[in-house]
Amino acid sequence: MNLIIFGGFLGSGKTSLILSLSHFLLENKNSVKSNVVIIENEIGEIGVDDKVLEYSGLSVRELFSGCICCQLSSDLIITLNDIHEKIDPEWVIIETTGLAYPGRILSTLKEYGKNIDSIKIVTVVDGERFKELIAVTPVLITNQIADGDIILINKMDLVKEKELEQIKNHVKKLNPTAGLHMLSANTSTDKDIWKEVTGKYE
Amino acid sequence: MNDIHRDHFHGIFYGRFKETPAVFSYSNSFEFKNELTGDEIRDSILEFMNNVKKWVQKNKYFIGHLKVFAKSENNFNIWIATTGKKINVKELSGQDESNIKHIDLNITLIVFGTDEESLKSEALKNLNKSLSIDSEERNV
Repeated sequence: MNLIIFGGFLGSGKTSLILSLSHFLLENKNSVKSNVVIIENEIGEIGVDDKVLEYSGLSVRELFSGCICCQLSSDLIITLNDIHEKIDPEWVIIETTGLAYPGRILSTLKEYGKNIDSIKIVTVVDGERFKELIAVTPVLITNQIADGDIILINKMDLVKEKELEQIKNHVKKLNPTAGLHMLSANTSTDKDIWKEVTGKYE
Repeated sequence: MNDIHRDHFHGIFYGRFKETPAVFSYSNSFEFKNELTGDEIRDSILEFMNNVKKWVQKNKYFIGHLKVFAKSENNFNIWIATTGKKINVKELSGQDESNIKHIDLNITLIVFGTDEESLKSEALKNLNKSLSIDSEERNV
């Protein structure tokens, strides 16, 4: 199984981009077996975003944070093992809560995960609220960006060009090695971005 | 399995509000006194969201996100969310339904700068105002 972890603050557009990536993976499906399962981790006792993904016909497994500070841990490992045993998909997309540190989830997976071929972290940055978020939760935002293998600055259509450039420079300083793209989840995502995320379908 | 909860610690949020956000998680299933259209339900949820937004802005809190999913017993499905900017509406199906008597409602509100009791109180007050929901039976 290849894992793609989506991190990024609340409301940054993770679910919309996961829908886009899932459709890309389904369009490029090259085997008869089911190829995408989404693990949805939401804050609270009930899911809201999972309904949108399920409505689109995607296979979704829910995980709920008992406490908003808790990271995905034993439940995630148990769920992944179960998915491998029952479905064995090519891709598992994990949508973390907007308050999660993707790097900590990666550490857990590296230590306890089984049957995992690759793991990539995609961090979604809310371009529209970037300045506010850096002020409200600087440690969280900084770490989410630093943890990303690929950074997607979303809502570029809602940000002026000069501000977008400032955000881009700020993000580059926090994570100089990550692949960086600017996009709007409201419009169709460039397939080259998903090719880079998956590292396949060239 | 080894203890893999060891990363669990609190107090990492030391931004402007120096605290973790308040969360209101609500799930309820109920009947309206009169039948409503899909548009009327959407407008009521939008009114609810706008009222919570105004309360947040007035008190200088900060919205993580406000999200609502509602579905009828037939085909009406709607997802509404905001970060405090524009309110996004995904009308998934059944918007032309005109005789909705029963809905399932899932709500998650995450707000920085306030406490859970205040958020819950404000949310339930506005739910009652906009959707005539005053039951706390399944508030989780």
